[in-house]
Amino acid sequence: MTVRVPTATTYSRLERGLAVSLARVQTLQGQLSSGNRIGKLSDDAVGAAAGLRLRAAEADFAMYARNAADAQAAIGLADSTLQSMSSLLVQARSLGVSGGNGSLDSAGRAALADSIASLREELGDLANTPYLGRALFGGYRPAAVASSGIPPTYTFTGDAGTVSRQVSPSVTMPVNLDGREVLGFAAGPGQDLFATLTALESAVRSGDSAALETAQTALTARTSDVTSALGRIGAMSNRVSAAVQVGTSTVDRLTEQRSQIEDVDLAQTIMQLQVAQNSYQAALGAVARADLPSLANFLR
Amino acid sequence: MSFSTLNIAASGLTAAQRAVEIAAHNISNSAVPGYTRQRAGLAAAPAVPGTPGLAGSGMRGTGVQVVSIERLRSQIGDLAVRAEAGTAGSTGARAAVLDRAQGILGPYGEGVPKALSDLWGAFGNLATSPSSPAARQAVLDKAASVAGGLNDAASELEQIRADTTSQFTDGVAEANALLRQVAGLNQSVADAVSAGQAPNDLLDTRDLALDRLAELTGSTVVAQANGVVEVRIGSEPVVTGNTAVELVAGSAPPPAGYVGADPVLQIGTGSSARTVLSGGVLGGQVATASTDLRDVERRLNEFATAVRDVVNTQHQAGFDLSGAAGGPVFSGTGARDLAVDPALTANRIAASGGSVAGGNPLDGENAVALAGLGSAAGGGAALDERVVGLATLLGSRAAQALRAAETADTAFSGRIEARSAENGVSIDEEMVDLVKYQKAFDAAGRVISIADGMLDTIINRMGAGR
Repeated sequence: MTVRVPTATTYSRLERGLAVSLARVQTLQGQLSSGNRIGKLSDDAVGAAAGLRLRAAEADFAMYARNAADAQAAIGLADSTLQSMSSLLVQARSLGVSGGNGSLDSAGRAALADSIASLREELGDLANTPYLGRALFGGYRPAAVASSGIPPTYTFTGDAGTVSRQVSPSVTMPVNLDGREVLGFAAGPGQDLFATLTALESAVRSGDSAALETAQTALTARTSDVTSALGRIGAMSNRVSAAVQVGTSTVDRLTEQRSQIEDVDLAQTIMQLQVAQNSYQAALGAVARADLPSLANFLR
Repeated sequence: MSFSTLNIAASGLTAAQRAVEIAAHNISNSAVPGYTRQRAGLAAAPAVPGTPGLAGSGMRGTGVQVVSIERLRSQIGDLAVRAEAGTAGSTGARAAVLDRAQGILGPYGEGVPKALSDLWGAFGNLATSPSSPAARQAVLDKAASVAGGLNDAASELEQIRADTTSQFTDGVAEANALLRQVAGLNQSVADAVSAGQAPNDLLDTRDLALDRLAELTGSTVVAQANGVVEVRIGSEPVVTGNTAVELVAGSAPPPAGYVGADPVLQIGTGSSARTVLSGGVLGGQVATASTDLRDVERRLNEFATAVRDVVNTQHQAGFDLSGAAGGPVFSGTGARDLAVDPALTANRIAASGGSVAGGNPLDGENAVALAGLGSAAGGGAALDERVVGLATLLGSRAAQALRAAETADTAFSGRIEARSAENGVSIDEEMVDLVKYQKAFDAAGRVISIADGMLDTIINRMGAGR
């Protein structure tokens, strides 16, 4: 069978070939200039779905990172506050020991008692340390303790609120401590940190060694409350740090995965573009030479 | 010696002239769409019995005659092209609609999925600073972007449906014009054929109209006597002889719970209207509008109500700045009218997990729960996963439709090429014909000179007159 090649077919074929190669060149140029392999969902429906999932996960992890940073700040402040409280309690204890020295006269005891009173005032301020509007040891409330009267009586004005932060997909953890436990209000009426210091102050002032003994014992119990709070804060801090580490490496991994899905492989795309450009030039050449001499050129 | 040689040569001259005319017609029309090359059908003229005697016996030829002008076209090529034209038309129409519909959620990486992530992020920030007016306002803004994104998606979907319907209406008008043209040409062809003529150029025009009709409606053609064709869409005859049926771009009411009307192709109006199942561009538009777009609409509304219900339920479990229980965040019945509830103000956002008289502005526990809603599976897939599912549905449908359209288009142009390889004009071929018939014409002229010389010999140089 003889193959017939009608003249119009030659031209329509050339036209089609030209359009196809140019479209390919433009697609690749668009990918290169935007850096994105996925412009529309249909460019790679499966990849786009994976990319969207990764984007959502990245946004989640960005939120976990913000939460963790906030948690670290709150925990760090609680840690330094508790450290200060602890050292104040050590001072109070040694003032109490000095006060038990029988060689002191009443003026000397009064001076020691005044020092203890000012330590109590300082502890009251520390107990009310604010963080983002709420008191560190006051649950959701703006103040943990309030004082009234002379000598001042302290009452707990916070609540049992647990401030929690989600620091990883699986970890939502508390980042505050119950003020009643830290400040000794949980130990019973008159057993709190401030009442204990008031008892110590009055024992020193009066030189009552039995009362001094009792107050020192109570103070030891309160000091160990603060120390154990420090331990719990340390554990919280470790937990947040671990979550932050996992979060950082997860974000890196997610970004890397998304880049593999969404971003063009530069070397490969440039090569493909080169190939596409070559084929487009070949198509252009074919069109330029399509003005084939027909038989008409050879007839007189 | 008689004058018959002159007549024979004259028939050769005439035939060569006619053949050159046909070659010229072919060359002139070589770029005309739908033109079919023609060829002179030459045959020897009827021979006459010889006269026994002087010149001897035997049938003597009387020259050549043009018995027909052939149209070199095969029905098989037309059938193949038209069968593929319907598929190319319907897949192309579907791809065009779905390619547009895949963008309703906004550009990739932006739009509704991002708005949703932003809302979770805003709740997360609110959890950190539950009393901050800025964090509360941000939640309101992000919730409004989620609702706005879904509103835009729904209205874009409606716009796509409306545009598809108006393209459909234009297509029906074009199909009707073509049907009337075919019916008119049927009449002209039948007239010519019954007068013994071959109306080649009329047939080309009609075939071109039939090609376009097949692409538009997936119609089929049945050849009948006298060159007349019957056109059918499905099993419904739409052109019979010289009469054409009027197609109507009708509209069907939407399924319960949906808005807008579905386009439908009908014959007749009012109570006598009946639906025609068409292929081609019109069929593709009808099918895409009434199935694919409805499907997307359903999934979009399901997603919008899921967002509304999941967020509202968690929000209503919390307490606002004044300690009152939270109200709904979103109101509305679907993607079209989803909105931030008008009663929701910054202070009414329920960030707190517990109720305290006078409120508990520093309790952000419910905001923590709200921030985790994206990945919390409550009554089905998590919302983040659902929005990805919706995007995947749009993307994979569009990708599949585009691939199908490309495949059908390649097959369609392949068949057109195959057909034109048979009926297209080749300039080289025509040039060869021109040369061939020019030589024949020259030779026939030469024959006349020779016959003239012979007659001169007989008449002027012989006999007694000299």
